[in-house]
Amino acid sequence: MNFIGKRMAAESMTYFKLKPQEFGFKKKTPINLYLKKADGKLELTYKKGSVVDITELTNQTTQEAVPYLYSKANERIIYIRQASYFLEENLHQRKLSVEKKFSYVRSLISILIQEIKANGLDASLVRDISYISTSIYGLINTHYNEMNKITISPQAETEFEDVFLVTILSGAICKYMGWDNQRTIETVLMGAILHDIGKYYVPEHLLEQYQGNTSQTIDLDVKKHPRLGADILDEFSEVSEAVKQIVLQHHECNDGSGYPMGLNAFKIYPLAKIVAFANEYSEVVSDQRVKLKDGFKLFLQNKETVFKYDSSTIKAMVKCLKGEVLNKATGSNL
Amino acid sequence: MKGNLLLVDDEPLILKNLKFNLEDYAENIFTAENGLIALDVLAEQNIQCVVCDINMPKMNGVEVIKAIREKGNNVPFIFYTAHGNHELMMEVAQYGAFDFLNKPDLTGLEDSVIKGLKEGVSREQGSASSEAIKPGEVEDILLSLDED
Repeated sequence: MNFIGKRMAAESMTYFKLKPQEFGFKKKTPINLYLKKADGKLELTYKKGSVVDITELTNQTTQEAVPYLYSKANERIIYIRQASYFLEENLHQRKLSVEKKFSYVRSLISILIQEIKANGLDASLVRDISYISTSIYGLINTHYNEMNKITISPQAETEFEDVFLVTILSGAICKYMGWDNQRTIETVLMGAILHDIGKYYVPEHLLEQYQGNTSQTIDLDVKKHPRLGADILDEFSEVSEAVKQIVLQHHECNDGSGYPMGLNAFKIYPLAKIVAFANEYSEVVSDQRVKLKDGFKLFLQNKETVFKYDSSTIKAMVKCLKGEVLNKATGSNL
Repeated sequence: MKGNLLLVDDEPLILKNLKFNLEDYAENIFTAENGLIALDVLAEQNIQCVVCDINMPKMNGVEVIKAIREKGNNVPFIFYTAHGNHELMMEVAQYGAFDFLNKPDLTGLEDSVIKGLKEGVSREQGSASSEAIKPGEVEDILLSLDED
Protein backbone atom coordinates (compact mmCIF):
# COMPACT_ATOMS: atom_id res chain seq x y z
CA MET A 1 0.00 0.00 0.00
CA ASN A 2 1.32 3.41 -0.93
CA PHE A 3 0.54 6.07 1.67
CA ILE A 4 2.49 8.88 0.06
CA GLY A 5 0.38 11.93 -0.61
CA LYS A 6 -2.70 10.27 0.85
CA ARG A 7 -3.09 11.76 4.27
CA MET A 8 -6.02 9.84 5.66
CA ALA A 9 -6.44 11.25 9.16
CA ALA A 10 -9.74 13.09 9.01
CA GLU A 11 -10.31 16.53 10.46
CA SER A 12 -13.16 15.88 12.87
CA MET A 13 -12.95 19.06 14.91
CA THR A 14 -14.09 22.39 13.58
CA TYR A 15 -12.92 24.01 16.82
CA PHE A 16 -9.82 23.49 18.88
CA LYS A 17 -9.69 24.05 22.60
CA LEU A 18 -7.21 25.08 25.22
CA LYS A 19 -7.30 25.66 28.94
CA PRO A 20 -7.42 29.32 29.98
CA GLN A 21 -4.31 28.86 32.12
CA GLU A 22 -2.41 27.59 29.05
CA PHE A 23 -3.41 30.65 27.05
CA GLY A 24 -0.21 32.65 27.34
CA PHE A 25 -1.13 35.95 25.81
CA LYS A 26 -1.21 38.68 28.41
CA LYS A 27 -2.47 41.41 26.15
CA LYS A 28 -4.69 41.00 23.11
CA THR A 29 -5.88 37.69 21.76
CA PRO A 30 -4.60 36.98 18.22
CA ILE A 31 -7.67 34.83 17.46
CA ASN A 32 -11.42 34.86 18.10
CA LEU A 33 -12.23 32.98 21.30
CA TYR A 34 -15.47 31.20 22.15
CA LEU A 35 -16.81 29.99 25.49
CA LYS A 36 -19.21 27.08 25.97
CA LYS A 37 -22.52 28.17 27.42
CA ALA A 38 -24.86 26.19 29.69
CA ASP A 39 -26.78 24.85 26.69
CA GLY A 40 -23.56 23.50 25.21
CA LYS A 41 -23.38 26.04 22.39
CA LEU A 42 -20.26 28.05 21.71
CA GLU A 43 -20.49 31.81 21.88
CA LEU A 44 -17.97 34.31 20.53
CA THR A 45 -16.82 35.97 23.75
CA TYR A 46 -13.49 37.60 22.85
CA LYS A 47 -13.00 38.99 19.41
CA LYS A 48 -9.53 38.97 17.90
CA GLY A 49 -7.63 41.96 19.31
CA SER A 50 -9.63 42.19 22.54
CA VAL A 51 -8.05 41.77 25.97
CA VAL A 52 -8.63 38.44 27.75
CA ASP A 53 -8.66 38.43 31.55
CA ILE A 54 -7.44 34.94 32.42
CA THR A 55 -7.92 35.45 36.16
CA GLU A 56 -11.56 36.28 35.60
CA LEU A 57 -11.97 33.19 33.43
CA THR A 58 -10.38 30.77 35.85
CA ASN A 59 -12.53 32.17 38.68
CA GLN A 60 -15.59 31.03 36.76
CA THR A 61 -14.50 27.41 37.14
CA THR A 62 -17.29 25.17 38.34
CA GLN A 63 -16.88 21.68 39.70
CA GLU A 64 -19.04 20.21 36.95
CA ALA A 65 -17.00 21.23 33.97
CA VAL A 66 -13.43 22.01 33.05
CA PRO A 67 -13.48 25.39 31.33
CA TYR A 68 -11.86 25.60 27.93
CA LEU A 69 -11.39 28.39 25.47
CA TYR A 70 -12.41 27.41 21.95
CA SER A 71 -11.33 28.77 18.61
CA LYS A 72 -12.12 27.83 15.04
CA ALA A 73 -9.78 25.26 13.53
CA ASN A 74 -8.92 27.56 10.64
CA GLU A 75 -7.33 29.96 13.16
CA ARG A 76 -5.14 27.25 14.67
CA ILE A 77 -2.17 28.13 12.49
CA ILE A 78 -2.37 31.78 13.64
CA TYR A 79 -2.41 30.60 17.23
CA ILE A 80 0.62 28.34 16.64
CA ARG A 81 2.64 31.16 15.11
CA GLN A 82 1.77 33.69 17.81
CA ALA A 83 2.24 31.16 20.61
CA SER A 84 5.68 30.24 19.28
CA TYR A 85 6.69 33.94 19.42
CA PHE A 86 5.29 34.04 22.93
CA LEU A 87 7.38 30.99 23.89
CA GLU A 88 10.54 32.53 22.50
CA GLU A 89 9.99 35.67 24.58
CA ASN A 90 9.00 33.90 27.77
CA LEU A 91 10.66 30.49 28.13
CA HIS A 92 13.91 32.01 29.37
CA GLN A 93 12.17 34.37 31.85
CA ARG A 94 13.18 33.50 35.39
CA LYS A 95 10.03 35.09 36.85
CA LEU A 96 7.82 32.52 35.10
CA SER A 97 7.59 29.20 36.97
CA VAL A 98 8.97 26.10 35.23
CA GLU A 99 5.58 24.41 35.67
CA LYS A 100 3.95 27.25 33.75
CA LYS A 101 6.57 26.99 31.02
CA PHE A 102 5.97 23.24 30.68
CA SER A 103 2.24 23.86 30.41
CA TYR A 104 2.72 26.40 27.59
CA VAL A 105 4.95 23.97 25.69
CA ARG A 106 2.49 21.10 26.26
CA SER A 107 -0.40 23.18 24.97
CA LEU A 108 1.46 24.42 21.90
CA ILE A 109 2.69 20.94 20.97
CA SER A 110 -0.81 19.54 21.34
CA ILE A 111 -2.30 22.17 19.02
CA LEU A 112 0.62 21.79 16.61
CA ILE A 113 0.01 18.05 16.28
CA GLN A 114 -3.72 18.68 15.75
CA GLU A 115 -2.83 21.06 12.92
CA ILE A 116 -0.46 18.57 11.28
CA LYS A 117 -3.08 15.82 11.54
CA ALA A 118 -5.71 18.08 10.02
CA ASN A 119 -3.81 19.85 7.27
CA GLY A 120 -0.46 18.08 6.93
CA LEU A 121 2.89 19.80 6.82
CA ASP A 122 3.90 22.72 4.68
CA ALA A 123 7.13 24.69 4.49
CA SER A 124 5.92 27.49 6.78
CA LEU A 125 4.78 24.99 9.44
CA VAL A 126 8.16 23.27 9.23
CA ARG A 127 9.80 26.65 9.89
CA ASP A 128 7.44 27.15 12.86
CA ILE A 129 8.52 23.77 14.25
CA SER A 130 12.17 24.71 13.84
CA TYR A 131 11.47 27.99 15.66
CA ILE A 132 9.61 26.16 18.45
CA SER A 133 12.53 23.71 18.79
CA THR A 134 14.87 26.64 19.35
CA SER A 135 12.58 28.02 22.08
CA ILE A 136 12.34 24.62 23.79
CA TYR A 137 16.14 24.38 23.63
CA GLY A 138 16.21 27.52 25.81
CA LEU A 139 13.87 25.83 28.28
CA ILE A 140 15.95 22.62 28.37
CA ASN A 141 19.19 24.53 28.75
CA THR A 142 17.86 26.43 31.77
CA HIS A 143 15.65 23.81 33.42
CA TYR A 144 17.17 20.44 32.39
CA ASN A 145 17.42 19.41 36.05
CA GLU A 146 13.77 20.20 36.84
CA MET A 147 12.08 17.58 34.69
CA ASN A 148 10.56 15.97 37.78
CA LYS A 149 8.28 19.03 37.94
CA ILE A 150 6.44 17.82 34.85
CA THR A 151 2.96 16.72 35.85
CA ILE A 152 0.73 14.50 33.78
CA SER A 153 -2.61 16.06 33.01
CA PRO A 154 -5.51 13.63 33.64
CA GLN A 155 -7.55 15.33 30.91
CA ALA A 156 -4.85 15.47 28.25
CA GLU A 157 -5.26 13.24 25.24
CA THR A 158 -2.64 10.48 25.41
CA GLU A 159 -1.35 11.05 21.90
CA PHE A 160 -0.56 14.74 22.45
CA GLU A 161 0.78 14.15 25.94
CA ASP A 162 3.08 11.54 24.42
CA VAL A 163 4.61 13.93 21.88
CA PHE A 164 5.12 16.56 24.59
CA LEU A 165 6.89 14.07 26.88
CA VAL A 166 9.00 12.51 24.11
CA THR A 167 10.14 15.99 23.08
CA ILE A 168 10.99 17.40 26.51
CA LEU A 169 12.61 14.19 27.79
CA SER A 170 14.66 13.63 24.61
CA GLY A 171 16.07 17.15 24.94
CA ALA A 172 16.93 16.68 28.61
CA ILE A 173 18.51 13.23 28.07
CA CYS A 174 20.60 14.68 25.25
CA LYS A 175 21.88 17.33 27.63
CA TYR A 176 22.77 14.73 30.28
CA MET A 177 24.51 12.51 27.72
CA GLY A 178 26.85 15.28 26.68
CA TRP A 179 25.24 15.76 23.25
CA ASP A 180 24.63 19.23 24.53
CA ASN A 181 25.43 21.74 21.85
CA GLN A 182 22.51 23.81 20.58
CA ARG A 183 22.42 22.29 17.10
CA THR A 184 22.26 18.74 18.43
CA ILE A 185 19.56 19.41 21.01
CA GLU A 186 17.45 21.36 18.50
CA THR A 187 17.84 18.48 16.03
CA VAL A 188 16.65 15.98 18.64
CA LEU A 189 13.75 18.24 19.65
CA MET A 190 12.60 18.63 16.06
CA GLY A 191 12.96 14.89 15.44
CA ALA A 192 10.97 14.20 18.62
CA ILE A 193 8.16 16.61 17.70
CA LEU A 194 7.92 15.00 14.25
CA HIS A 195 8.76 11.40 15.21
CA ASP A 196 5.27 10.08 14.43
CA ILE A 197 4.57 12.25 11.39
CA GLY A 198 4.27 9.11 9.26
CA LYS A 199 1.55 7.79 11.58
CA TYR A 200 -0.66 10.77 10.83
CA TYR A 201 -0.68 9.65 7.21
CA VAL A 202 -1.47 6.01 7.95
CA PRO A 203 -5.21 5.31 7.62
CA GLU A 204 -6.82 5.63 11.05
CA HIS A 205 -8.74 2.37 10.70
CA LEU A 206 -5.39 0.55 10.47
CA LEU A 207 -4.05 2.31 13.56
CA GLU A 208 -7.22 1.43 15.49
CA GLN A 209 -7.05 -2.18 14.41
CA TYR A 210 -3.38 -2.25 15.35
CA GLN A 211 -4.16 -1.63 19.02
CA GLY A 212 -3.80 -5.08 20.52
CA ASN A 213 -4.16 -6.82 17.18
CA THR A 214 -1.43 -9.13 16.06
CA SER A 215 -2.53 -9.49 12.45
CA GLN A 216 0.64 -9.57 10.38
CA THR A 217 -0.87 -7.53 7.54
CA ILE A 218 -1.80 -4.65 9.84
CA ASP A 219 1.52 -4.99 11.58
CA LEU A 220 3.41 -4.58 8.31
CA ASP A 221 1.40 -1.53 7.22
CA VAL A 222 1.74 0.33 10.52
CA LYS A 223 5.40 -0.53 10.72
CA LYS A 224 5.95 1.48 7.57
CA HIS A 225 5.28 4.75 9.40
CA PRO A 226 8.92 5.59 10.27
CA ARG A 227 10.00 5.31 6.62
CA LEU A 228 6.87 7.13 5.48
CA GLY A 229 7.68 9.92 7.94
CA ALA A 230 11.22 10.28 6.59
CA ASP A 231 9.87 10.35 3.02
CA ILE A 232 7.37 13.08 3.92
CA LEU A 233 10.09 15.18 5.55
CA ASP A 234 12.33 14.82 2.50
CA GLU A 235 9.96 17.18 0.69
CA PHE A 236 11.22 20.04 2.88
CA SER A 237 14.74 21.32 2.35
CA GLU A 238 14.57 22.96 5.83
CA VAL A 239 14.56 19.52 7.47
CA SER A 240 18.08 18.22 8.08
CA GLU A 241 19.16 14.67 7.31
CA ALA A 242 19.68 14.10 11.05
CA VAL A 243 16.00 14.85 11.75
CA LYS A 244 14.89 12.49 8.96
CA GLN A 245 17.11 9.74 10.36
CA ILE A 246 15.67 10.19 13.86
CA VAL A 247 12.18 9.78 12.41
CA LEU A 248 13.28 6.77 10.33
CA GLN A 249 14.96 5.00 13.26
CA HIS A 250 12.77 5.89 16.27
CA HIS A 251 11.45 2.31 16.59
CA GLU A 252 14.82 0.55 16.29
CA CYS A 253 16.07 -1.39 19.33
CA ASN A 254 19.52 -2.55 20.40
CA ASP A 255 18.61 -6.24 20.15
CA GLY A 256 17.51 -5.92 16.52
CA SER A 257 13.82 -6.46 17.30
CA GLY A 258 12.79 -2.97 16.17
CA TYR A 259 11.57 -1.71 12.83
CA PRO A 260 11.67 -0.80 9.95
CA MET A 261 15.26 -2.11 9.49
CA GLY A 262 15.85 -4.28 12.54
CA LEU A 263 19.15 -2.53 13.23
CA ASN A 264 21.11 -3.52 16.28
CA ALA A 265 23.27 -1.75 18.85
CA PHE A 266 25.96 0.38 17.21
CA LYS A 267 24.13 0.60 13.86
CA ILE A 268 21.34 2.76 15.29
CA TYR A 269 21.88 6.50 15.01
CA PRO A 270 22.73 7.66 18.58
CA LEU A 271 20.23 10.56 18.51
CA ALA A 272 17.48 8.19 17.29
CA LYS A 273 18.27 5.91 20.26
CA ILE A 274 17.49 8.77 22.63
CA VAL A 275 14.13 9.47 20.97
CA ALA A 276 13.35 5.72 20.79
CA PHE A 277 13.92 5.35 24.51
CA ALA A 278 11.93 8.52 25.36
CA ASN A 279 9.13 7.24 23.13
CA GLU A 280 8.90 3.87 24.90
CA TYR A 281 9.16 5.41 28.37
CA SER A 282 6.69 8.23 27.63
CA GLU A 283 4.14 5.71 26.45
CA VAL A 284 4.22 4.06 29.88
CA VAL A 285 3.81 7.44 31.64
CA SER A 286 1.00 8.77 29.46
CA ASP A 287 -0.88 5.44 29.26
CA GLN A 288 -0.74 4.81 33.00
CA ARG A 289 -1.15 8.51 33.98
CA VAL A 290 1.58 8.16 36.56
CA LYS A 291 4.35 10.49 37.72
CA LEU A 292 7.57 10.43 35.69
CA LYS A 293 9.46 8.61 38.43
CA ASP A 294 6.75 5.97 38.89
CA GLY A 295 6.54 5.49 35.13
CA PHE A 296 10.29 5.00 35.01
CA LYS A 297 10.09 2.28 37.65
CA LEU A 298 7.42 0.51 35.58
CA PHE A 299 9.63 0.85 32.51
CA LEU A 300 12.61 -0.64 34.36
CA GLN A 301 10.53 -3.52 35.70
CA ASN A 302 9.44 -4.55 32.21
CA LYS A 303 12.15 -7.03 31.30
CA GLU A 304 10.86 -7.33 27.76
CA THR A 305 11.78 -3.75 26.93
CA VAL A 306 14.37 -2.41 29.37
CA PHE A 307 17.25 -4.38 27.82
CA LYS A 308 16.50 -3.01 24.36
CA TYR A 309 17.96 0.40 25.19
CA ASP A 310 21.45 1.70 25.94
CA SER A 311 22.69 1.62 29.48
CA SER A 312 24.06 5.16 28.98
CA THR A 313 20.62 6.49 27.94
CA ILE A 314 18.89 4.88 30.92
CA LYS A 315 21.53 6.23 33.30
CA ALA A 316 21.12 9.71 31.83
CA MET A 317 17.39 9.44 32.55
CA VAL A 318 18.14 8.50 36.17
CA LYS A 319 20.25 11.64 36.58
CA CYS A 320 17.53 13.65 34.89
CA LEU A 321 14.86 12.38 37.30
CA LYS A 322 17.15 13.05 40.25
CA GLY A 323 17.70 16.58 38.97
CA GLU A 324 21.48 16.33 39.05
CA VAL A 325 23.27 19.54 38.17
CA LEU A 326 25.83 19.20 35.39
CA ASN A 327 29.35 20.49 35.68
CA LYS A 328 29.42 23.44 33.28
CA ALA A 329 33.09 22.92 32.49
CA THR A 330 32.71 19.35 31.33
CA GLY A 331 29.07 19.27 30.23
CA SER A 332 28.23 15.66 30.86
CA ASN A 333 28.78 14.01 34.22
CA LEU A 334 28.28 10.53 32.80
CA MET B 1 44.35 8.80 22.70
CA LYS B 2 42.67 11.13 20.20
CA GLY B 3 42.36 8.58 17.39
CA ASN B 4 42.95 8.77 13.65
CA LEU B 5 40.48 10.40 11.27
CA LEU B 6 39.79 9.66 7.60
CA LEU B 7 38.13 12.30 5.39
CA VAL B 8 36.47 11.09 2.16
CA ASP B 9 35.22 13.63 -0.40
CA ASP B 10 35.67 14.05 -4.14
CA GLU B 11 36.23 17.82 -3.76
CA PRO B 12 39.97 18.42 -3.02
CA LEU B 13 39.22 21.90 -1.67
CA ILE B 14 36.72 20.50 0.87
CA LEU B 15 39.29 17.90 1.98
CA LYS B 16 41.92 20.62 2.39
CA ASN B 17 39.59 22.87 4.42
CA LEU B 18 38.34 20.05 6.62
CA LYS B 19 41.85 18.80 7.32
CA PHE B 20 42.89 22.32 8.33
CA ASN B 21 39.85 22.83 10.58
CA LEU B 22 39.87 19.41 12.24
CA GLU B 23 43.60 18.96 12.84
CA ASP B 24 43.37 19.77 16.55
CA TYR B 25 40.91 16.98 17.23
CA ALA B 26 42.70 13.93 15.73
CA GLU B 27 46.05 12.23 16.16
CA ASN B 28 46.44 11.96 12.39
CA ILE B 29 44.17 12.95 9.53
CA PHE B 30 44.12 10.95 6.28
CA THR B 31 42.28 12.06 3.15
CA ALA B 32 40.77 10.15 0.22
CA GLU B 33 39.33 11.67 -2.97
CA ASN B 34 37.25 8.60 -3.73
CA GLY B 35 35.92 5.45 -2.13
CA LEU B 36 38.57 3.14 -3.55
CA ILE B 37 41.36 5.19 -1.97
CA ALA B 38 39.32 5.26 1.27
CA LEU B 39 39.18 1.45 1.34
CA ASP B 40 42.96 1.29 0.87
CA VAL B 41 43.55 3.75 3.72
CA LEU B 42 41.20 1.81 5.99
CA ALA B 43 43.05 -1.43 5.16
CA GLU B 44 46.47 0.07 5.89
CA GLN B 45 45.82 2.46 8.77
CA ASN B 46 44.16 2.17 12.13
CA ILE B 47 41.24 4.60 11.70
CA GLN B 48 38.87 5.47 14.56
CA CYS B 49 36.41 7.70 12.69
CA VAL B 50 35.45 8.43 9.05
CA VAL B 51 33.87 11.63 7.70
CA CYS B 52 32.34 10.73 4.34
CA ASP B 53 30.45 12.46 1.53
CA ILE B 54 27.56 10.54 -0.07
CA ASN B 55 27.53 11.54 -3.75
CA MET B 56 30.92 10.62 -5.18
CA PRO B 57 32.12 9.13 -8.48
CA LYS B 58 33.51 5.55 -8.61
CA MET B 59 32.04 4.60 -5.21
CA ASN B 60 29.30 6.51 -3.42
CA GLY B 61 29.13 6.79 0.37
CA VAL B 62 26.76 3.82 0.68
CA GLU B 63 29.13 1.56 -1.26
CA VAL B 64 32.05 2.70 0.91
CA ILE B 65 30.35 1.97 4.25
CA LYS B 66 28.90 -1.30 2.91
CA ALA B 67 32.36 -2.51 1.85
CA ILE B 68 33.82 -1.54 5.22
CA ARG B 69 31.09 -3.27 7.22
CA GLU B 70 31.49 -6.42 5.09
CA LYS B 71 35.08 -6.54 6.30
CA GLY B 72 33.78 -6.55 9.89
CA ASN B 73 34.97 -3.00 10.57
CA ASN B 74 32.56 -1.04 12.83
CA VAL B 75 34.38 2.30 12.65
CA PRO B 76 31.97 5.25 13.28
CA PHE B 77 30.92 6.99 10.06
CA ILE B 78 29.84 10.63 9.97
CA PHE B 79 28.05 11.56 6.76
CA TYR B 80 28.82 15.16 5.83
CA THR B 81 26.69 15.94 2.81
CA ALA B 82 24.95 18.64 0.84
CA HIS B 83 21.16 18.09 0.48
CA GLY B 84 21.75 14.58 -0.76
CA ASN B 85 20.00 11.78 -2.55
CA HIS B 86 17.15 10.64 -0.26
CA GLU B 87 17.24 7.00 -1.39
CA LEU B 88 20.98 6.78 -0.73
CA MET B 89 20.56 8.32 2.73
CA MET B 90 17.78 5.85 3.58
CA GLU B 91 19.97 2.99 2.34
CA VAL B 92 23.03 4.13 4.26
CA ALA B 93 21.11 3.90 7.56
CA GLN B 94 21.12 0.10 7.44
CA TYR B 95 24.93 0.01 7.67
CA GLY B 96 25.01 2.25 10.75
CA ALA B 97 26.01 5.89 10.83
CA PHE B 98 27.22 7.78 13.86
CA ASP B 99 25.99 11.21 12.72
CA PHE B 100 24.58 13.16 9.80
CA LEU B 101 25.71 16.72 9.16
CA ASN B 102 24.64 19.06 6.41
CA LYS B 103 27.39 20.97 4.61
CA PRO B 104 28.63 23.57 5.46
CA ASP B 105 27.94 23.09 9.22
CA LEU B 106 31.57 23.04 10.31
CA THR B 107 30.90 23.76 13.98
CA GLY B 108 28.53 20.81 14.16
CA LEU B 109 31.08 18.64 12.37
CA GLU B 110 33.83 19.55 14.84
CA ASP B 111 31.64 18.50 17.75
CA SER B 112 30.59 15.31 15.99
CA VAL B 113 34.18 14.36 15.09
CA ILE B 114 35.26 14.71 18.73
CA LYS B 115 32.45 12.34 19.75
CA GLY B 116 33.00 10.02 16.77
CA LEU B 117 36.71 9.59 17.52
CA LYS B 118 35.95 8.95 21.19
CA GLU B 119 33.36 6.34 20.20
CA GLY B 120 35.79 4.75 17.70
CA VAL B 121 38.48 4.41 20.36
CA SER B 122 35.91 2.93 22.77
CA ARG B 123 34.68 0.42 20.16
CA GLU B 124 38.24 -0.78 19.63
CA GLN B 125 38.64 -1.24 23.36
CA GLY B 126 35.34 -3.11 23.55
CA SER B 127 33.59 -0.50 25.69
CA ALA B 128 31.29 1.21 23.21
CA SER B 129 28.41 3.39 24.35
CA SER B 130 25.75 1.06 22.93
CA GLU B 131 25.68 -1.56 25.65
CA ALA B 132 22.45 -2.82 27.14
CA ILE B 133 21.93 -2.22 30.83
CA LYS B 134 22.71 -5.19 33.07
CA PRO B 135 20.07 -6.79 35.33
CA GLY B 136 22.08 -5.89 38.45
CA GLU B 137 22.23 -2.24 37.36
CA VAL B 138 18.45 -2.16 36.93
CA GLU B 139 18.02 -3.39 40.52
CA ASP B 140 20.46 -0.74 41.79
CA ILE B 141 18.60 2.02 39.94
CA LEU B 142 15.25 0.88 41.30
CA LEU B 143 16.66 0.92 44.84
CA SER B 144 18.21 4.35 44.38
CA LEU B 145 14.91 5.75 43.07
CA ASP B 146 13.13 4.42 46.15
CA GLU B 147 15.67 6.12 48.41
CA ASP B 148 14.90 9.60 46.98
